[in-house]
Amino acid sequence: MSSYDLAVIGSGPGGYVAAIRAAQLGLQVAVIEEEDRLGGVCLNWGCIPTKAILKAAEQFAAVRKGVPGLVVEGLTPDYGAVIDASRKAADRLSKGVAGLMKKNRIEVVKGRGRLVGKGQVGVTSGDGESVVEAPNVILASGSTEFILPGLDVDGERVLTSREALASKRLPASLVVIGGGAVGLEFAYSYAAYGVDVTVVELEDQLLPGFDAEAAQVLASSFARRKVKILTRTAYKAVEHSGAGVAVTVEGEKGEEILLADQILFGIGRRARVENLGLEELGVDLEKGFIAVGEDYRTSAEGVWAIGDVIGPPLLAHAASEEGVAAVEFMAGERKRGIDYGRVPACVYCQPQVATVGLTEDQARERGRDVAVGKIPFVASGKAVGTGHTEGFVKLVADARYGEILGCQIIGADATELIAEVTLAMELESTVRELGHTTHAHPTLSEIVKEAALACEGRALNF
Amino acid sequence: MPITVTMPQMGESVVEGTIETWSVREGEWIEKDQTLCEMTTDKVDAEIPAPASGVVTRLLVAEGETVDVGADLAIIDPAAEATVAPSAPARAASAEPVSPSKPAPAAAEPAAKASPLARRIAQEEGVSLEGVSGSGTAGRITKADVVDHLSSSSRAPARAAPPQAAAKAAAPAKPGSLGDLLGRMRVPRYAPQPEDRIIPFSSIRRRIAEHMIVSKIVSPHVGTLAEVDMHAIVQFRDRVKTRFREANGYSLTYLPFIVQATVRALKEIPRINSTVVDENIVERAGIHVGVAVETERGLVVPVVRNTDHYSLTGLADQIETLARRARDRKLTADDLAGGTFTISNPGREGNLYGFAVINQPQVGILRMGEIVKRPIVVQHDGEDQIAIRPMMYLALSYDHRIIDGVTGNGFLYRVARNLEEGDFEV
Ligand SMILES: Cc1cc2nc3c(=O)[nH]c(=O)nc-3n(C[C@H](O)[C@H](O)[C@H](O)COP(=O)(O)OP(=O)(O)OC[C@H]3O[C@@H](n4cnc5c(N)ncnc54)[C@H](O)[C@@H]3O)c2cc1C
Repeated sequence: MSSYDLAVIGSGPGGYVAAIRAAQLGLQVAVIEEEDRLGGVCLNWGCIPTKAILKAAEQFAAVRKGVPGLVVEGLTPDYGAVIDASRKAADRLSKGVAGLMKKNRIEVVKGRGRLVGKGQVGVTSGDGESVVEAPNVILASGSTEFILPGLDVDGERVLTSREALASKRLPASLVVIGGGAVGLEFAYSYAAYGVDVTVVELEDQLLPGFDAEAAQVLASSFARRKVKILTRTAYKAVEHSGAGVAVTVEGEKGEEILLADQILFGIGRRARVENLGLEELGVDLEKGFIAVGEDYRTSAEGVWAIGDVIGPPLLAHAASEEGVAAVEFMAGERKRGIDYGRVPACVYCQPQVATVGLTEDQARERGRDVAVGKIPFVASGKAVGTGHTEGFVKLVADARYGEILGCQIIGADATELIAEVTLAMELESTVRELGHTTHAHPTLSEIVKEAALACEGRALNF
Repeated sequence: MPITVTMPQMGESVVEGTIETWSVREGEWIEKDQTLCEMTTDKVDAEIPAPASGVVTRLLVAEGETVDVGADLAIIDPAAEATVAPSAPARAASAEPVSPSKPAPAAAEPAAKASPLARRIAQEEGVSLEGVSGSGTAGRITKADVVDHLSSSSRAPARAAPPQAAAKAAAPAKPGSLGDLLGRMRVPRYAPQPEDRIIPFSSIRRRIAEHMIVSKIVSPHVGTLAEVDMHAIVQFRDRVKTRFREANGYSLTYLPFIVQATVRALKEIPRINSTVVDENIVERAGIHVGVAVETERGLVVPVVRNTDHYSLTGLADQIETLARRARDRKLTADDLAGGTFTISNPGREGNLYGFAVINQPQVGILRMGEIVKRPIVVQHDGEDQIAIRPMMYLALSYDHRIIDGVTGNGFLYRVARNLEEGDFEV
């Protein structure tokens, strides 16, 4: 039996970052992970491999569309090599996390963790059972694909993101169920390689909850890339049909059967809360996720929870921030929780979509007197020069104080551009400071500045 | 005997004042010459001292209220006994030597570390960041801190708070600088409609727009209107116009008459032919009248230099030349520079009268209305009669910073009289 100040169950971006922050604050920390690779879903089966695939797909699409001065004879995708590259990237980062654990003198305990008593985590592995003792335990067990009851995910015809990320086969056609971030990233990647893709979304727009105008731009961009989009359409059933599948969906015009090689489900995730000993220790759940307070304490003394397991936003950077916050609360170094109004959310297909804070509609619903600065990418010299004229930056501000309430960006590098606005919000800059900041020319970031100026009715280039 | 304190006469032109803060509460004892209240007028800020020692039995005017000179402000009873202990702020104020002519300088805002948003909210809400404790990184004052501060100060019962503190919280937001005000001004956003035509500003349009805005801000405009019987001039012009045209090759318009009548009035009242330089009025020796000319690209104002040196024919000649140059786009910068007064003649139809915007850095502009025949009452052989006369409204906009009503009206009256007397020759 070994004792620590803190035991963390799960080594995803929530767990491993919490462990590092705790080590920085002088705590003795153990991280318990059942998988061989550290880094959780994010590094191994989420953020990182998908981004590797998206980048390859983007480049393939660019070459297929034509690059000035580049003459290509015969263009053949080797999707297996794409998957290999994505695995390599994931492995490298996973090893990087192992290095970070060593550097911070964090003990990695391999095995499946479970709360077995107050301050006690039982660990089961191939080598047998052991107990890790720590007065504080952080649950960071993450989430896993939500699978409809009775669905046979065989990895051949029926897949979730997990199977798709390991599958080296390019189907001729694919039905994606779910028009959220995960579904759209796969839809984009496969379509780039010429796969005939249909996206089925229940709500009336892609990316439900995101800015409607951005969703509109995205939908028309996908349509131009020959991706079929069915909104307000419900998935009903899937059956084998020949070598592929027959997918029954129901839209406004009634039922329809879509025939395809494969079907990919991107319909959400559920918390990994089973076999953690939660009930025994009195850790309450709420809607399937672990319930926590602003300081990430659960209902059981000494037990904390962070990341996907506590519910939306199911994002890696949110998990990391929560990990840092939980440890700082634990150490008495922090007074305020995380302001989720300043947590960005990004989608990495092309055009990229990034959002932080409130959309215009949400701000108005909250009764704010809103000033909106919206600048299209075509107004930017850089965008025109590099051929990325699709999209816009929309900055939502309080009309009286200039407070930045939110920002929605769709277009090239949107996911990088949002960082500036997030920083401005964190520093409580108003649109005025953002508009006064000199931005290098020509850059896409100039569009953000223009949007800030536009909030005050003084855009210079639009 | 209780003494009634009244609003003193604080300067010749001061007619009213606003009580900003009372330095004492009802029932409190005040020493003679101790500050009773702070007040602001449109000219000066001042503190009103107590005329005698005694108990302030009544405060008759609320903070923020504006009253006329001579109005009753408070009652002090030298014989009464204090029912309230002197408030700490009043004490502190009286202990400090305060020079009566200058208002005490406002305590300098400590360089509080605050986020831009926190500063902006404080400014908009008219509260000081002094005393607000910061919860942000390294004690920085954040939005949350200011919002907490605002809600706690508005919740605090006014009576329990010392009067000055209460007054501070309740005081209306201090008007910001002009730039700030303009920055905050919100008009409904333009929502593009399919058929709308959008015409971007040309550079001349932008210059005009900027000039108009600046002029309206710099010079408080006052307008005054005169009615001119143009009978004598119309008759004179009718008599000479054919001959004039033959001699000069262009028609004699009414404008030269107006210019000459104006020049004569400017000579009589040089204040109208002046400009403001820092805090000086400069009455200019030279008279250079600009004449507003409409062109395709917008309004331009060429200047007839040394306008007073010309005869009526000379003026007609100058104006004709400048107008032609303007239409041909041949005006030089010199033609447009150096005006000391402007006359605007915005054409005939739909122009009974109107007030023009002053052409900076001048201080007055005259605008001609259309000449319309109207029945008016005239005296003929000592008897009132109704006659049909060509009438014109002349509208003067003047800069109220340096021209007051008597001067402005007097000038306009003289221009009108000069026109009606019809003392012109070609
Ligand atoms: C396809 C896909 C793409 C994504 N892309 C993005 C993106 O671009 N950006 C973004 O921000 N987010 C993205 N996400 C979401 C992101 O991956 C998650 O939000 C993030 O991984 C959550 O981190 P976590 O630490 O809470 O949990 P996880 O990353 O899920 O890690 C939990 C870890 O705990 C381990 N574990 C669980 N139970 C036990 C136990 N009892 N004992 C021991 N170990 C245990 C698991 O093995 C796992 O390693 C994506 C997700 C998917 C599926």
